[in-house]
Amino acid sequence: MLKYIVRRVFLLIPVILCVMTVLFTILYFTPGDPAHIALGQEATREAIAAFRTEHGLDDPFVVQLGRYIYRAVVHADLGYSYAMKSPVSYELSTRIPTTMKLAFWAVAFSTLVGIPLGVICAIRQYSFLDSVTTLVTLLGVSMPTFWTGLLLILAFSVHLEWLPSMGFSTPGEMVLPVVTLSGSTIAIIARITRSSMLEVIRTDYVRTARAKGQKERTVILRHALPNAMIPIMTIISMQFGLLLGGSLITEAIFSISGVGRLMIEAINMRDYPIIQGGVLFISVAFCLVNLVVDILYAFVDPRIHVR
Amino acid sequence: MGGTVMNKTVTGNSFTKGNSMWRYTFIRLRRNYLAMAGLVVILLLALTAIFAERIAPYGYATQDYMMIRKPPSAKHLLGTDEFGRDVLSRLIYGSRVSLQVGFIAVSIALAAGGMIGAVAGYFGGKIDNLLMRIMDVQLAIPTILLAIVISSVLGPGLFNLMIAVGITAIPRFARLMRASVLSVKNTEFIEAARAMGASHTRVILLYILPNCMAPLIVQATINVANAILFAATLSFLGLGVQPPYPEWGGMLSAARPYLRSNAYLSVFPGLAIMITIVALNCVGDGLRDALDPKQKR
Repeated sequence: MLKYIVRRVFLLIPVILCVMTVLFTILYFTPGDPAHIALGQEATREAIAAFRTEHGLDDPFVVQLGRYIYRAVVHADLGYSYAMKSPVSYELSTRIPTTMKLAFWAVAFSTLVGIPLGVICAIRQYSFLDSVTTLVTLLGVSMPTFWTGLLLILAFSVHLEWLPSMGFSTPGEMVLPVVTLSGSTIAIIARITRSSMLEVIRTDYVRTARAKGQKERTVILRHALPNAMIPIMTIISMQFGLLLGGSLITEAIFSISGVGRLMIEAINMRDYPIIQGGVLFISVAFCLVNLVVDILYAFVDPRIHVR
Repeated sequence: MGGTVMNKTVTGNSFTKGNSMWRYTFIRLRRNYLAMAGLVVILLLALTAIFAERIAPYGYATQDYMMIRKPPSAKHLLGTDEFGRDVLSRLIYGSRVSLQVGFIAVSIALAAGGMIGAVAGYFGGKIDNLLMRIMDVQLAIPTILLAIVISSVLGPGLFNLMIAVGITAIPRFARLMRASVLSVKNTEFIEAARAMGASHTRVILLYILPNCMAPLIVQATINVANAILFAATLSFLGLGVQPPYPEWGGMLSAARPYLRSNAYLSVFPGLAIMITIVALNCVGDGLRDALDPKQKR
């Protein structure tokens, strides 16, 4: 088991290096001189030349790429934000906790709502509740995050005045962003849980469990649900990537100062080092979540042999 | 996945006359009310987009300074925005952007991803390994972020929006195509075609591709919905189509400051996006069920 985990972690390294290379290459060939962005349009030619030498912008592409990867890997230094005049890793590190908090609560909330909802729908297939849930989940996957957020603000902040529409520090402030971000994930998790449970409920071992005279509760929770978990876990880990992307929009709507909002500001100011660092952070987080879920598979389903 | 793909495509398409797989698929699809309703909505939207000039009561940039941010009335059915422009007309013109981006972006992804997947699956070996590892790297970056990075690099505009959204969907099509090619590759009719002297290009284009289309078409339908959502998201962030041309996501972004005073401005564009996506999802789900042999009645 340990060997498998170590091997998977090592396999991540080339992927992350390639992601760094791709991001660096895309942004390197972008029109627009970082020196101009940093010093403004009125900067003298000498100032720009000095800036370019200081930051090594005149070096060949390969040298710059190598330096970027070396610094990132060895010194955890992701470069320097020209627009914010501070290191990228510092700017990111102050905002990562907020984004992680948002993503964690969104995953927790959507799992806690989505799985029970899907299970109930599967048990009571074709009931009224099932039809309503099917309809609501269809709408849920079809609503853009930013619109869900605006509607929630409209209902709970503007009309009912129950919840604040800005910030993310008190529990009250956290409700709307978390619900906004979880919206489509709840819908997707509920859908997958329902179809996966429906498949499992018809198997022979579930019938055997019932025939033994076990309580319905035990049959569903002990026998059926664990066997339906693999596709559910896959979808949750896939959703995590979408959630991190969605946090960009959610943070913008609710004025939360996380990584997402930092990146949107960076996009508007064409501050490429920050964009690079932010995407890299989110991609690494995404890869790690996928890795953890892959390892969890083996715990949930002992039939999956770890190679 | 590969196994089921092969069964339905091979038995359906190649050995019977007149593309009967598609006929049966359509017959099954027609029984699905939700999918048919979705199809009707999409056709209506397409007509709206094509005949926007004739349907829209006002131009998309026609400003009326006497009618700034007026709620829905008989004259302006969905009200007017902060420049006194008719919201309904802007929504109608906006359908052009959404549908164009949706379909063209997915076509780009389908063509590029399909080609990569077909080559990787057909030739196998080193090429396969190389192409699929590249796809893996792309999959490591969450799609919406990649779309944001690419479009911030390319700059705003309809064409760049299509490319940005299209590129992000390539790996999915490539993987799907590779899986279906692998399942068709070793069948006798491919061997027969090769024995008769058909070139690799000819085998891929005329023998393999037609037998791999079913899963790709389902994926494409669902991806059009995704592409429209992405395009709206990018426009909401100011990276998409530039004003004054209307885009649903951009309209929502412009409506944000007036959320407290003019809520209707934030409701209608979102509703337009949602209806389109719901319709596309219904068609996609219906097509998937219709093409899935497990569901056969």
